[in-house]
Amino acid sequence: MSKLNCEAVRMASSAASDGLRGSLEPAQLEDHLAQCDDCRREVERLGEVMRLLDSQKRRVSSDQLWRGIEARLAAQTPAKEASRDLRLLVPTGVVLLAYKLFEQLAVHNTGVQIKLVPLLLVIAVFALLKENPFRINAELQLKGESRK
Amino acid sequence: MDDGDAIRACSAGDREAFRHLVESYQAQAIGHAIGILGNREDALDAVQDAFIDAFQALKQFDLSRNFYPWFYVILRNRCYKSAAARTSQKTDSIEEAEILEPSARMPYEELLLLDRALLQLDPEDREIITLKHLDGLSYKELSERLSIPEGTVMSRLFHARRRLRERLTRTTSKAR
Repeated sequence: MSKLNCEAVRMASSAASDGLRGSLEPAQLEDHLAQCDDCRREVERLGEVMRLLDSQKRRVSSDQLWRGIEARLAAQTPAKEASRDLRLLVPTGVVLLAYKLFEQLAVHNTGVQIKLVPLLLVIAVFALLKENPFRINAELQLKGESRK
Repeated sequence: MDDGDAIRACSAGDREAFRHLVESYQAQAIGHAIGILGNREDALDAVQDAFIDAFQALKQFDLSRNFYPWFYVILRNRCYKSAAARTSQKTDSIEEAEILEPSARMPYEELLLLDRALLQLDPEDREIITLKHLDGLSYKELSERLSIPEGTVMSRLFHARRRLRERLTRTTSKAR
């Protein structure tokens, strides 16, 4: 009996015990196992291990991860928000600078509507950033100052 | 709140909604990570990293799918990265079962021997064996979960079982 045949039989027997038909017919497996003591022993030993494992359950963890995850997400968010804020504030600065230049160079007196442009622009930026410019931040701390 | 609502809220930037997903799946994920890594400390780190990765990738999540199988792919990547980075672990001295739940059906000493034999396997062998025997996944489910053909599941499972049997014989004879 070749080693390859024995290996194929053992693998097919392992699959058969899971209810799956491998490359060999059940009758072929039975014939081989009836003749080959090594294979029969191996299949029996594997069957014992499988039965032992099937009677077990996975240990259930009671660890709570949310606090650690929340802290890490919170630490990541300010960097993202800062880069988003910068993407809005830099173009606003450029537009305001261009407006100032336009105002300086304008020969004719610009109307009230044009004068409102910087104010409307700043309001739009605060609205986009979802920030209240009049909010007082009570959480601000000086470096080295401990929170009471 | 169901998973779909939580995922939609997270994608809109609601961090608190992610809590629902973490608390729903953390126990399952830690069990699976220990099943791969064989070590609770490494598993907790890997699961936490995987949840952070998942949060950042949630915008690409297809809402017609279930969350956990999608998350499992991320978790596996984290676990195998962690397994590749660490040095070998000592398993003979463990006093508490890492993977298996103690029960009245089996004396604790025997359970510990089986647990130690599992811990001596490679992460790939341990993963497929625990998914098959402890979670009861079918060959089709294993094939999807591990992204391998069913034929490969059959051969990998066979070799993993054989290696477990060898380790179990060794740990049992050492204990005597």
